[in-house]
Amino acid sequence: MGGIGPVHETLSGAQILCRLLEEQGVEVMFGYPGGAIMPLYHALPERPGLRHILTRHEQAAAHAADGYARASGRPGVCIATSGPGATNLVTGLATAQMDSSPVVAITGQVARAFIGRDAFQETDVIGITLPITKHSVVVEDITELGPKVREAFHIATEGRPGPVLVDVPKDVQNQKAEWVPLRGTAAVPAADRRAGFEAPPGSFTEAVRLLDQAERPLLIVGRGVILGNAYAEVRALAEKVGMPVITTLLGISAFPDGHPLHLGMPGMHGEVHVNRAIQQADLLVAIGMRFDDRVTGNIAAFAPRAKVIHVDLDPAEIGKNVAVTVGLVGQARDVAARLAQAVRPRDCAAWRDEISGFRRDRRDAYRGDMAPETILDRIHEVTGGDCTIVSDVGQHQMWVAKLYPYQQPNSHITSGGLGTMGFAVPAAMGVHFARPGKPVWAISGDGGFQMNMQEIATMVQEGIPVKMAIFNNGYLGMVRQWQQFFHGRRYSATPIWSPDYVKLAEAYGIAGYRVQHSGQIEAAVAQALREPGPALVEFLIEQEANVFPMIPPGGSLSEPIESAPPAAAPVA
Amino acid sequence: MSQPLPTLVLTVALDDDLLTLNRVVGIMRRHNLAVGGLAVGPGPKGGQSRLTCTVASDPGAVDRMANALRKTVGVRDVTTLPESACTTREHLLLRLRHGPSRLSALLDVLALYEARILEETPEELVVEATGAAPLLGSLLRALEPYGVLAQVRGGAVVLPRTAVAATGRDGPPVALPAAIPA
Repeated sequence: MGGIGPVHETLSGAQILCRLLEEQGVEVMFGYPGGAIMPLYHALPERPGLRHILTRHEQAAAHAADGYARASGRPGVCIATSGPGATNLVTGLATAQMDSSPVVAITGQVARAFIGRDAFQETDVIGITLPITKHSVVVEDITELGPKVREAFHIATEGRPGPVLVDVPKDVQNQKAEWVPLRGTAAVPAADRRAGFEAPPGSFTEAVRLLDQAERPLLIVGRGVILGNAYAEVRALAEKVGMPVITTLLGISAFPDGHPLHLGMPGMHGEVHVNRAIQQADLLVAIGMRFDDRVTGNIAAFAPRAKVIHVDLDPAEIGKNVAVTVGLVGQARDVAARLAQAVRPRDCAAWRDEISGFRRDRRDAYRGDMAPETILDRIHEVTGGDCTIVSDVGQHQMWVAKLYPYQQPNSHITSGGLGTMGFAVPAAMGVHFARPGKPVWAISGDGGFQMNMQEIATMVQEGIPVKMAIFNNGYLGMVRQWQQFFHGRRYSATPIWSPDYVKLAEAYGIAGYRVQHSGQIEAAVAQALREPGPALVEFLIEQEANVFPMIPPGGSLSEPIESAPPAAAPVA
Repeated sequence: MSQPLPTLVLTVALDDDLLTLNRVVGIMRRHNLAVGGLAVGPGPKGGQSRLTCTVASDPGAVDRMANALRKTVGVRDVTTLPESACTTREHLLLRLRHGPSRLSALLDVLALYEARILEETPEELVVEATGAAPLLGSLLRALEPYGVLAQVRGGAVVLPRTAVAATGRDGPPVALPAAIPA
């Protein structure tokens, strides 16, 4: 808490806001100045401990704060002015909300006297962001600044994390008041303002009984395990029961790849043996996951033989999408540890042998010299696995999820719930500040990369050494794949032109490499890693490569598509 | 033919500020259920409001909405109850035209429904009536021939008939870790 001044200081609202950010342990913020937030930007240089990163777009600031939060477990902070600055944060806040990421957004607002008069750059950002934030507050007077900012940080991080927006009118930033630092060691938690939940006894005993009796138990691990730092406890539970483990898209890296119990990712692009394990299981133990439709496919046909134990910190998730036999509300770490302690030790060898029989050689699914698997293997080899992979959204996201062998906890970061194209590059900038000195790779398709590639300038200006990989197939590949499979190969608005990425890199003054065949991959990746600053590697992959297997939208996990439909005449 | 959807009564105790009300109504809008007769008034505790409405919907969908409300900052309590377990009342204000020739008959109708006269002019009456929605509907139909000049109707306010009925959450079983035996 260095930098907190003496007790009796009269400061402006903007200065107090800076002190509050310091008090909350903020070390870096991502933002973009403008009229209604100018007092805060005027005050910032007085507090050199608050590093500000000027992004090239407010959306990128929100994603960077999100990336920082996901990698560090601490709240990520983004700042924007009123009006367009605030509205540009929206996609980033929705992304953070869907993936339970603790982001605190501070927006300037027009002065109080102008609110409601359609003033220049006035928007009702609270109204706009109500459904896509965990909470949002307007600071209506400088006396509210301390309590509301402290409450914002508390709400963002307590329980199931999420984004909180704090809207501060410009004249409140200019009001004067005495700065009263927080006394004590911890931030004052806001009074618990949530409704309580009933807790019928006996649920835990029933969960243990179900686990002890199951012949085909399956553990599904989601992001709650990463958020709750429950790696060891979940692993202990799996190992004690000999229970196979599957990791959802956001649960990837919550359980080590290559562990004999680890099966992979389920759902729409899950491997056949993973989805068949779900369909054959007699018990699902779901920890910190929410049965997203991309996991379940057709709910009516999902896990037809299984009872379900659902462990989640958020009671509203229990029974939301899937009927639950036993719901346990609590921290993944606590519940997994107690379950591991209570269940009988065993080895579900027969069940695991059965699942092994479902396995297919996944290499059959990837064709050509520049197979995604080859590229990801080389990145893993060259980095020694000691890096964070931040993926964008689309085909490459599925390849990166399934084919990269994650060993380190929380080493895979992606936009799962909202599926936000353009996420990877700015989020990776945030990851860098959470893990300085560690390599960060932002892997995008050519579509998603072009959504936020302006952030290369931010990296150059701020010295952010993110390595960018572009899987370039000249298409919005996942949409094109759907068009190929379900829309008669009518490639409507999916072919996408790209600039010369090597020249683009050159224009920004960074290293850029184009990789056209597999023999070049290793050298390009190694050279990019050696660069002290940001670097870009473009991989020219097969144009019509597909992600297999695939469960059709709304289809059953039992009915995967494992090859492309025969080429029919294009729809007239 | 599918079964008619049951009507549930949803009551929400929330902090008494417009932003929290906005948040609550926003969640209800998003869940897009058939919400009827939404009433907001002061709650039993200081600084709180109480929102009451009826929802004709699949109970699972109502429970999902109630769970989303429960985790909203500023929401203090949420209960869902079958309408049959509650006493419900609505408030109706009416401005009626009367004339000397019809006044007697009109007063008979109002007396039948225990409606009270609040103001009287030579040509008009302002009356109030309370009751459950079907009763007020019946009163309005009975008054149609006399000329209803204006009407204002509040949403239903609801009280569970017994304390047992007001236990709140009726969703899937949950257990807090503190309750778990080591």
